Amino acid sequence: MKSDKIVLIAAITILLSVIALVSWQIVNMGRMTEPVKVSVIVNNSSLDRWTNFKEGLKQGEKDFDIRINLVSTSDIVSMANEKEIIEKEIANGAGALIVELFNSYNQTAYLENINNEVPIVLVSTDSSPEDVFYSVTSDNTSIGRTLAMELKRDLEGKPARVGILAGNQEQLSMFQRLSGFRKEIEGGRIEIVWQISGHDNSGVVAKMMDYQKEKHAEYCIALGNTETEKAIEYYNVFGGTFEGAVYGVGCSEEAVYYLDNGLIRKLIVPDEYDMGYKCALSIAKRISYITEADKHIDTAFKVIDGDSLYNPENQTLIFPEAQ
Amino acid sequence: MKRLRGLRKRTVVLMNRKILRPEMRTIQVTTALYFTTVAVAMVFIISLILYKQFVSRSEKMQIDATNRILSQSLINLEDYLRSMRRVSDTVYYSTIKDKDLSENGVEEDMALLYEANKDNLISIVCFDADGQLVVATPNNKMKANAKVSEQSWFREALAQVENLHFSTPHVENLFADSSYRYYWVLSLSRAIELTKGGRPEPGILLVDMNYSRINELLSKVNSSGNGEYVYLTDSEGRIIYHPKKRLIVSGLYEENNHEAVNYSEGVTREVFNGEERVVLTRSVSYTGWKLIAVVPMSTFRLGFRGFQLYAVLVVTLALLAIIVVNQLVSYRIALPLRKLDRSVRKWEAGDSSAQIYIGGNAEVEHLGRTMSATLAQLRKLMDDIVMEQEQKRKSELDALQSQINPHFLYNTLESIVWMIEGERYRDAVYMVTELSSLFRVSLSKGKTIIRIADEIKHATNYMNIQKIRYKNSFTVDFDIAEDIMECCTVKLVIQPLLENAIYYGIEGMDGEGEIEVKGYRKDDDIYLEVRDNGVGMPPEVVESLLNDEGKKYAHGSGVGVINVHRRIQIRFGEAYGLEIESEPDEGTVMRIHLPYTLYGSDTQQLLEKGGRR
Repeated sequence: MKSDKIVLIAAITILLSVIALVSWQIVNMGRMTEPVKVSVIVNNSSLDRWTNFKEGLKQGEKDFDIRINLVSTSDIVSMANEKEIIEKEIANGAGALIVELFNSYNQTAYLENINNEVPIVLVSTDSSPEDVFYSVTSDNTSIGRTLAMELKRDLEGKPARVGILAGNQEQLSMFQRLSGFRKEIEGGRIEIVWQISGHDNSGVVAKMMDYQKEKHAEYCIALGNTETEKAIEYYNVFGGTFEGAVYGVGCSEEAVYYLDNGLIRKLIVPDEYDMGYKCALSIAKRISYITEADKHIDTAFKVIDGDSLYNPENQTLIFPEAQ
Repeated sequence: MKRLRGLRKRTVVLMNRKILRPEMRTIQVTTALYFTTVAVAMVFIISLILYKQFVSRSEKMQIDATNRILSQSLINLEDYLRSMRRVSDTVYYSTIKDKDLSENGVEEDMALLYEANKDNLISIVCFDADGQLVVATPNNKMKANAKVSEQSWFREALAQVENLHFSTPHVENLFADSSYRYYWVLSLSRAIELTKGGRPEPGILLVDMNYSRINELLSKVNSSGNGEYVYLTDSEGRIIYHPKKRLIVSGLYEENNHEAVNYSEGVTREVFNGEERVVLTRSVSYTGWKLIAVVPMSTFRLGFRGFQLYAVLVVTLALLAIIVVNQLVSYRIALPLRKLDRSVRKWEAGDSSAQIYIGGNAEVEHLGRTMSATLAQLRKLMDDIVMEQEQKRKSELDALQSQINPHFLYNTLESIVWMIEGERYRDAVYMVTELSSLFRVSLSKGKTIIRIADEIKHATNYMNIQKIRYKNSFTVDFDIAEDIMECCTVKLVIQPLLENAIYYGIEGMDGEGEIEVKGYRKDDDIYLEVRDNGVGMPPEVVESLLNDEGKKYAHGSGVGVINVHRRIQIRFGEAYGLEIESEPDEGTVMRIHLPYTLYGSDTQQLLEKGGRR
């Protein structure tokens, strides 16, 4: 008799518990969980070089249930400027950050401090030392080497004098591209006659003119999208002062246009859509505390010339569909 | 761990003892258990059937909804393509055909047409058969490196002159745009007849449709974000539009487009990359394209979450209600049985006046009635047995009493005869008087229970006769307390003891015999002692006197003191009876132990019937 009562009470208790649990779930089901806001801070966010990157982020936003907030930035001029933007975003409720570092060096302590509060993924360039933080970049050393190899292939062993637009060397990516390029031409017949570095691009064209007058370069090597566009600007302002052509890295429509019309001989195009999508994937994993996420994700790049520009695969890589 | 094991062990024991052994359960629990089991099984079966039906219906509804969306998308897409064909037709039939292009400019007409459709168009271009530009709008500055004749839309139009050809999406690469703009287009090409200088010659008309229109159109369909999506392929399965086209190109997503394009129109179920999906396929008129909707089965389940929770809630509430209702129902059903059980238990516990419950439903009432009748019959049988026993006891008593020493009567009568013959008439009269008194008490109107005073009188009569017979060879002393005189005793219990004292104690002794009869009360008991100073008895004889062995020591009448003992016990119970103390050469004490019961007609009748105090 007693045991029957115990069984009955136990059954009723279990059923009541199930009812309570299910009711709680039904009540909570109506409450939509707000996706985490992920602020994306890249230099000059309105530039069309980011179009594919934004498309990738947008797809990632749909697939990984996060809310991407692409911070509207102009020219970020210093790390202090970037830190200010980062802190403002955190203060505005950013739950995670995707950041293109202005300066890759000596930022470990600062980034660690942020990372403890807000997950962070570095895009385009890693910090130095590498692989401390989660990052999504191309293999920049490889990009530099590939540029050099393409130039060498086109020269077919002939000597050449090149000028390099090395961009912001405080960014590890630009440094790696330059190192890769230099390493590849080491001991060859390619001579670097001038090199312009620095994040401030305002006087680059004038500087190029001066250097060309001083030490004439036949080819211009532009290690980034902005640098490629500066080379184009130089061409448009001063005409064909390069016997050869520009070998550049970039993905903006301007860069592509001049690849199409022949000013740029070879353009290395990083897969920016892939980069954007994988940034979203990486940050979503960090938000969900998925520990098996790769710390560093490499994205592909492709060497494009005038002939291969309209290959179906390259079209998809270069030209954003949503226009 | 140890506690867990202990708990498990207790649970197993409980299961074995209580749950798995139905004979241990009450009828209420058994009823509730069976009802609940059946009801729960039914609830589960019905829920399962309903759930399956709901799932199937929901699937059908979702497929229907997707089909409607697909049809609407198809209508929109075909509208768009039809308008593009109309543009192409208008350009050709109204602007180019029958006009000599060397004499008439058609740029203006084409520009007007372009302006009217510029949201949907990128360019309208006319080439000759060698791929040389004839006329174009809005941009007519061709790229120097544009290889028109190598483009697929050009080759296809020339190869099949009677058809309109739709290309897959590509970036337009014919005209230089100084604003660095590149457009994704779908090329609608057709072979046409151009007239130049009065001579007809073949040409190609190209209408570059703005791909973003199709992208927008189908993106809207795919904006629901519930997992299902629509994509578009050409007749060979090459993707024209897909919401994840870019991921497919990067190898981050896979689509079963090359298989799906061969599916017959309608609904097809497939398993792709381990995922079960429903694929709906529709053909786009005039193009050979396929508009394909994919509904992963997981999206059905996604929408069922809420329903599943509600279903679990309803089923759980139903189970709870079933358990509670079954408890109440089983309680109601079992209640008459429990009442019957309780009344039977009372009766079992010895309450012979307990009434057997008669009530409840027909079966239980019948059971109660039957049991009640059975018990009444049993009671009657028991009463009969008791009566029978009483009769038997009475008969036995009568038999015992009737055994009182006929030898004594014979001797007494003989003594009287001798007295008369010896002319001792006075003694004879005395003896006859005593004998008469003795018999009066003996008879006592058939009563078995008499006053102690009458019993003493009977003993006195008997001893008076014996004293004459034994010529006063012994003395008798009666010392009876007054307060017991009016108490009850079984009649003729002292006389056999006196007889015994005479025959065994006094008769064989040398000196004068002394017999003392003493009666007294001690608490609620009465003791009547017959003490003699005779030869006494050895212990084995004393011991055997109170069992059947005693009969062999019986003298004369053959009735031993055992009869006295039994008769007292029959009337007053095992606690009472006769006690004997004896020492050889010292004498014997025989003590009658009786309850203190005052004599009255009620008490006498009660004891007569076998009732005890």
